[in-house]
Parts: sequence; structure tokens; C-alpha cells
Amino acid sequence: MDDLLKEFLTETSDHIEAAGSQIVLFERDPSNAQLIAGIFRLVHTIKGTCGFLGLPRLSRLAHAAEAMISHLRDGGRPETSHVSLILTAIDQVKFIIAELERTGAEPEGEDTELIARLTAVRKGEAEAVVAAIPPLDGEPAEVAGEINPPMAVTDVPVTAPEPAARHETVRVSVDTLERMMMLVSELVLTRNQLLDIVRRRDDETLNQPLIRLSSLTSDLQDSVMRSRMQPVGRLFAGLPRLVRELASELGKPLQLATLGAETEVDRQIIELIRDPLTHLIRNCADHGIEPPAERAAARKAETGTIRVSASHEAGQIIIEIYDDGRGLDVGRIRAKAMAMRLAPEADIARMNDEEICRFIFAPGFSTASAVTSVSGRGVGMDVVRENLEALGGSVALSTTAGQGTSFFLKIPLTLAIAPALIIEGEPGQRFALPQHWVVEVVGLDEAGGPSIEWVQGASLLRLREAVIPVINLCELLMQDGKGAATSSCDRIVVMRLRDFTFGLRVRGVADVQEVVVKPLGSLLGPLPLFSGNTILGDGAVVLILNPGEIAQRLGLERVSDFRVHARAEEFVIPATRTRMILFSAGPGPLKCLPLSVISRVEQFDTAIIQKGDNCLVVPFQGRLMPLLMVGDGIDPTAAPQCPVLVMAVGGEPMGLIISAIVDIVDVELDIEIAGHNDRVLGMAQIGDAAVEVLDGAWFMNNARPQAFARGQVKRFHVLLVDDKSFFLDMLSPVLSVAGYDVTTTDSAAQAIMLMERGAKFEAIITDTDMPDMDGYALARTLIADQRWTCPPILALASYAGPIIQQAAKASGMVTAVGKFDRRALLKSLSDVLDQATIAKQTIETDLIARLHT
Amino acid sequence: MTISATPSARAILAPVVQRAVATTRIFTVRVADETFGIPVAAVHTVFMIDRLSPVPLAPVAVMGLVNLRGRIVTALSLRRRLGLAELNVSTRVAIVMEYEGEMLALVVDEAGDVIDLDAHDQIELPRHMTASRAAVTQAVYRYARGLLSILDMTAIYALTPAISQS
Repeated sequence: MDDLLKEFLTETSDHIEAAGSQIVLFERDPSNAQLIAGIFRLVHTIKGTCGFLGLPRLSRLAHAAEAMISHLRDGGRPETSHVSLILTAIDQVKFIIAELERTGAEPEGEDTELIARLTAVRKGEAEAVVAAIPPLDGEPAEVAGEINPPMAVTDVPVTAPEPAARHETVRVSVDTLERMMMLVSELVLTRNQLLDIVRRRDDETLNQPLIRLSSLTSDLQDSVMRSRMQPVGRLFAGLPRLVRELASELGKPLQLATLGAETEVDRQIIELIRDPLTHLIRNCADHGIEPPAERAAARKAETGTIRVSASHEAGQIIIEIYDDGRGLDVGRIRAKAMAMRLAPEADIARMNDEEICRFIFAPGFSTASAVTSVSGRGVGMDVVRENLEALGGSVALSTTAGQGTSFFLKIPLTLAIAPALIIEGEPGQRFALPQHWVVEVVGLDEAGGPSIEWVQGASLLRLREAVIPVINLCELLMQDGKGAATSSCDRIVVMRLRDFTFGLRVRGVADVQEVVVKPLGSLLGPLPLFSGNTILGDGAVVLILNPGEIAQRLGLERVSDFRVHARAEEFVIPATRTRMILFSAGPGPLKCLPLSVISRVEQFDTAIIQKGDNCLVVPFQGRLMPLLMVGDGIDPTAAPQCPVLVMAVGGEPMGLIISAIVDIVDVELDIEIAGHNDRVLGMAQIGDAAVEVLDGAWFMNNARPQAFARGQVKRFHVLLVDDKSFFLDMLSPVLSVAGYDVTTTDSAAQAIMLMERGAKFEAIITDTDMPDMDGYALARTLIADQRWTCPPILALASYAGPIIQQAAKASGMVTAVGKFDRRALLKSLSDVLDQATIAKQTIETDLIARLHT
Repeated sequence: MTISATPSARAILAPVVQRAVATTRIFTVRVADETFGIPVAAVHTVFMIDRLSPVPLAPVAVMGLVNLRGRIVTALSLRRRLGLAELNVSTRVAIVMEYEGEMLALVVDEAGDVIDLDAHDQIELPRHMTASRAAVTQAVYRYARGLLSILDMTAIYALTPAISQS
């Protein structure tokens, strides 16, 4: 194909999708000249290029569409039918482009009817012509005129197209990216080999450049990986149109809001979640949102809201699909689950609402009594779940009767790379096991530890209170399913898939690596046990095990036998073992503290320890850290270095000077003799020795009284709103070090959403200057809303001048502080929160006083 | 030794119009003292395999997976495919080919020369050839001192999956 044509096709397919959603936005907001001008420009460009490339059919169609759009641009009122007509034209353009991509030539045929209708609109004869012409044959999407009542698809300000801030970009083909990815993988392998050789040679001169090479390679790998990422906005682009169509199909006015369109995810994943997302939105519109009359009766806005938001969370992307409809009818789901015998009746009766709701993911489950063309066919939710699980993701939901339902899709950021355990079957035989499913790895070699028991040929692992089915890896790999001797396989990898916990017995776990997942070759035939293969750091090829298949071999029902597992009835509190750090400090018995209170163990040069005001201090992480002596008999200056246990108190560190660390032990702590002074809780027996159990709190309170009080009384939760990630990144650590829990968000809309979802904050700090909605407007909105009591809001401005203070106070905010004035920020925050706590206590004191009188 | 060829494998692997071509370029390989021909256009490179990861439960002819400069390639043993016993050697010669967009390695005893065959030298498949061998043979040519079978790569790569577990 001609290069010019190829470029034209890629460019156009990208833009045409956006044009579809823009026209829908325009329908809602006809005053936005920018939108229609953008679409006009696109169609105009298509027309021009077609003439140049010699594509008569596309050119004629574009010409007619251009003429109509220009009519709208020049102030023609956009009617619903006009917009539908333009959408039809866009579909037709897409169809022709797809054909061009496929065959290199325009498809046969003419678009006379469509062109006639487009031209007619301009002449003001739209309705008449539409009525006279039958629907087009074989063309995508239905047409014009019949939308009744005219549905408004609105778009909340958060998604209003921003005036494009142009970044320099270059178009790179996916093949090039794939090739770069491959070359980088190879580079990594070569680097690893080199590292291996140098390690054996022990050549000092090579070390420095090799470390540099190594980090460069990792950076390169990271960047290439990142270049495969795309914003989920691509996925969202088609949604306004989908919702518009649903609105007219179902006769319900709907509005769509999308959030987090800039969240990035691997391009492969975007394509894979398109269908599940579409399905869930259809479902929201059809089953979730009530008909307008019902909404009016329930005192809800007639227009139903569907909100799709994306965000990153711990290496995963979370997509929430929310509707403010009637919520799931738990009673009906329960009844239907019983009728469909999805689980024993007694189990269903015992299940809580959450467990009941999960039945909607069972195959063939549909609660709509009227089957509609949109989503009532009873296929779907199970497919959604199956698709997501195939990606290593999951779907969950939360629902409130009468208020709405949220579906949460959890998806890994990339399919291409996944952390995996490298496990051993037969000696020298390695496999990768995706870590995503792994709960823990336990050993069978310890006395009194977990053990394998056999019940009529089936092996089970007794692990703490649970009994888990286990299969030997060697057994899985044998043609006839008969295992070899298994005595040397003494590690069990415990995995969980949905509610099913199971174990895989292996020889050992060699490593944990990030593996690049590649599909299996087709010659290998269907091998459900493996989900792909990968190359390890040492260049060896290993197969990736499929946990889903292992679970099935162990009796987890296929999706078609879906059943919700009832919760274990009894809960036995296991004996608590505490991990203690055992150390000596001067003369006297050994001492211990729970390891969890220790954040680090440091060795300090005694020379840098100084006598401060009443205590010892040492520079630590750029600040001064107070040091306390554990025993009286230690002379910290005696040796050149002394070990220090660092504890974090409400975000501020303090240190304990000790003599030496002896051991770390897991014990069931039983203090037998109470302590004789404040710093010692008492004596306990650990092993053969009597050990002093120290009171960590006493030390914390002595070294950092304020931080300790703050950490003890309450950790305040603060919401930080700023559209510039620079400030979020700069300020959130400042706040968390000061002992606050911090949630950050980059827009006012998202802050409001968090509050809508019921997030509780003790204070909100917001930037004043943000696009879409500024900090003042945010404050006014939050304070005016009756659904919650708004916490105190602080304004964050580039400087806290008197005018800004005034504006902040006028908007109901407590105060304004400068972005760079860290101290003032912490001071204001602490004032505000102390005020809030004290104020609350006054209420309580008053109340008690009144009750007593 | 590395021999490269153009990667238009698909065109060659399709049933060849036998009369129309005057000469055919053939890559020869040796397996168990017998010489076979492979259409040269199908061949990418020849390389030595010293490290191979077996694939449990895969068809018998699959020797395993190899790392060919960062690409994972399925290695197929021509010996096993022809129902012969495997050689016990540590390094093996593999012919790397592309088949339906996928890279494959065909493990042989020895890689031979590239030769040109004349269309006139083609003879009919011997009628008493065993059915299993006839199924993977595309044509037989008179060549130098003897006869040369050209392998039908599509047939070679059509593997029956291993017995699935109940």
C-alpha cells in the first residue's frame, strides 16, 4: 500500500473515533463552537486528502458531511436527528476506511441516499426526506429521526475536551515497539551473561562500567515498556456515543462522566477490556438506571448518571463503572439463585448480601424480568468475569439499594510482564508460576509444621486450621497422570483463585523474576496446563503454569458450575506469635521489643553522636534524631560504632542505643513477672532465658512526646488536591512524615467523587488554581453539599497574600497557606485539627454536664 | 555455519505447481543416513542447539523449546517425526524455518548443501512407500547417485497432539 495512503488511514481512524464523541458533546452544548469547528476541520481534511489520493466515494461522502456540518457551525440548531445523521456518516466513513485498510481500494457501491439526506438537512428538509427514504442496506448503525423523546446525553465538566496542550509526538508502528521490546529482552540476557562472567573473574576494573551498563539496561527496559502504555482515554472515547445510543434505545435520559482518562495501561489490555466495559455500561443503563418516572418518584434527578473512572492502585488499574440507579435487588437475586439451584438452599439462606450479589456473575443469570435487546439475554456478566480472570484480573461490585451500583474491574497494568515464582519440578526442570495467585509458600520439612495427609489417594495439606487440596507438579506433568516418587518435593505453593485455596507441591522455589510472557507456539497443540512461555535471566526457556487449570484438576468447578462457596462457619483465633527482636544493652538480662515497632537497625559512628538538650542526638536522614539509652551501663563512646534501633513515632524517627542484637524469634509472648520500672513491661521466658520485655511506648513518649501523642490519639486523614503532580509529590511526604494519613487527587472533580463515595477526611487541603474547577469553587461545592459534613478546608496558593486569605475565607475555607511554606502548612493544619478535636470534646463535655444536671 | 534465505516460506509451502518450474532450489539435510530435501526458501538459518527445555504433555515429535537470540522457538525432531529413534548427543543441528508466521526449528543429524533440481528429474512416489512416509513426502527426484525425497513441510508440521488426559 502507498505510504501516503497508509498514513492517511492511520491518522483518520484515530480522529474519526474522537469526532463521534465530540458530536455528541456538541449536541449537548451547541454553544461550544470549538467542538463543531474541530469536527468540521477533520471532515474537511478527509475531503481534501481524498481528492488528492483519488478516493472518489469517500470524497463525495465527506463533501456532503462537510456541507451539513458547516451548516451547524454557522449556527444551525443541532437536532437529535442531525446528530444521528452525522454519526451515520461517521460510521460510513469508518466502514470505507476499514475496507481501504483491508483491500487497498474503496469498496464498491455508492452512498447516494446518505448523501441525499445530508444535503437535505442543509436545505431544511431533513424530516421529510428522512421519512421518505428507507433505512440503508448493509450499513452500520441505525439512522435519524426516530429518537423520541429527544434524549440529552450530557457530559459533566470533568470530561469537557481540554484545549489540547500539544506534546511533541511521533507515530511509531506497533511492530517497531515489539521489535524494540525483543531487542531489549536480548540486551538484558546479554547483560546477565556478562555479569555472570565478571563475577567469576573478580576483575575490579570491570565493576564500575558494568554496574552502569546494568542500570542503563534496566532503565531502557522500563522506557520501552512504558512506550507500550496508552491512556485509557482511548477506551473512553467511544463511550459518549454508546451512552447516547443507549439513552435513545431505552428511553431514559442519561449522562456520562469519565474520570482518569489519562491513566496508562498496556495497549494490549485496552483492546481486551473494551468488551467487558461496554457490557457493564449497557447493564448499568438497562438494569441499573430506573425509568424517568420512577426516578422522579424516588426524588432523584430524572437524568441517570453513569460514571466510569480509572485509577492506578498497587501495580493494577482499577476501572469503576458506577450508576446512580436502583441498586441490585438482593431479595430477587437470592430467590433466583434458589430457583436456579446455584448452591444448596441452606447455604443461600445463610449468605450475606455481598455473597448473594456475586451470583450475578453466574452463567445464565439475569434478573431483568423483561428481556430487552440491550442486555437482557442473560449472557454477559459471567463472560465479563471470565474475560477479566483470563487477563489475571477480577471484577467486584458494591451496591446500595435505591442509590446505585459500582462495578470494579481490577486489571494488571500489562500482560507482557508479570512477576512469577520460578519453581522446580524434577531436578533441573523449571517452570514459572504467576505470583498474582500465590498466597504463600510453605515447607514440609519442619517438625510440627504443616503436613501432607492422604485420604483415599488424594493428598491434602494441613496448614494451620485449614485443609487444602494439593497436587504434585510431577503428577501434573505425567502423560498418564501417575506421579513419580515425591519425597524430595517438600515445598507447597499455596494459591487462591476466587474462593478456592489449593496447593502445588514442588521441589523448590528457585527465584522470583519479572517474566516477559510470550504465547505458546501453535505446534505444541492445546496444553491447558501452560499459559505461555518465557525466557529467564540466564537465557533458559521455561513454561508458565496456568493456575486456573491446576485449580480445576483439584476440583474447582469450571465456570459453568459456578457456585459461591459459603464461608467457614467457625472462626478459631490462632495463638498469636509475636516476632521479637532480642538484644543486649549493658549488663543485666537480655531485652526484647516487638520487631514491628522497629523501622531500621543502624550502625552509627560514635563520633557523630552529640549531646543535645537533655538527650543524645544524631544526624539521620537529613534531620536530627533523638537517641535514648536502653540500659544505664552503656557507654556509647566506648566503641567506634554502636548499633541503634530506629523506631518511627508518628512519622518522626527516634533511636535506642543498644549493645548488640542477639536474635529474632517468633514467640507466644507471656509476661510472667510485671516490670519494676516504667521502661520494662515485665519479664518473659524466651527459649531458656528470662528476657526483659521493654515498653516501646515509654521510649517513644520520652523522645517524641508530641509525635507520640499525635500517633496515639488519632492519625488524621488529610485529602490533598492539586492538579500539578509536582506539588502532590512534594507535599504528601511532608504531611505523612508529620504523622498524617494523606490521600492525593489531581482534580476538584475527583475530590468531590471521593466525598460522594463516602471517604472521610479530617481536613482537605486544596490548590486554589486548577483547571475546570478551582479550589474556591471546590470549597463552596463541598461546604454546600448536604450529604456530608464538610471537614475544614485549607487553601494552598503560590503565596498566602491578604487577597487570597480573603477569597479563601469568603469561600468558607479556614485559611490559606503558601505552597512553599512547609512550616506554615503544618502549623495551620495542626491548629485546625486540634481545634476540631477540642471543639468536639467541648460538645461532649457540655452534653455530659447537661445530663448530670 | 549459517545460511540465510529469503523468508517467503508460505509461497513455497503451498502445494507446488510441479511442471511449471524448470529448476527447484533445495536445501538438503541428513537424518539416519538418509538425505531429505527442504524447499530452500523456507529456511531462515541453521544453528546449533545446546540447551533445550522439554515441554511435558506436548506431541512426541516436539523436542522442546529453544532460545534463538531472544525468540522462543519450538524445536521439532525430524527423527521422531519420521518414527526413528533419537540420537544421544548433546549438541544438535537445527534448521530454522518460518511456518504460518511462526518460527520453528527442525532438528536433523546434519545440514547438507543447497542444490538445484531439474523438473525433468522428478519421478512418481514409489507405490510401496509406507503410508506414513508418503504423507510427509512432497516429491521424489533423481539426484546424482541416488534419489532424493522432498519433504512436504505442511505435512511435517501437522502434529497429532499427545494423548490427552482423562
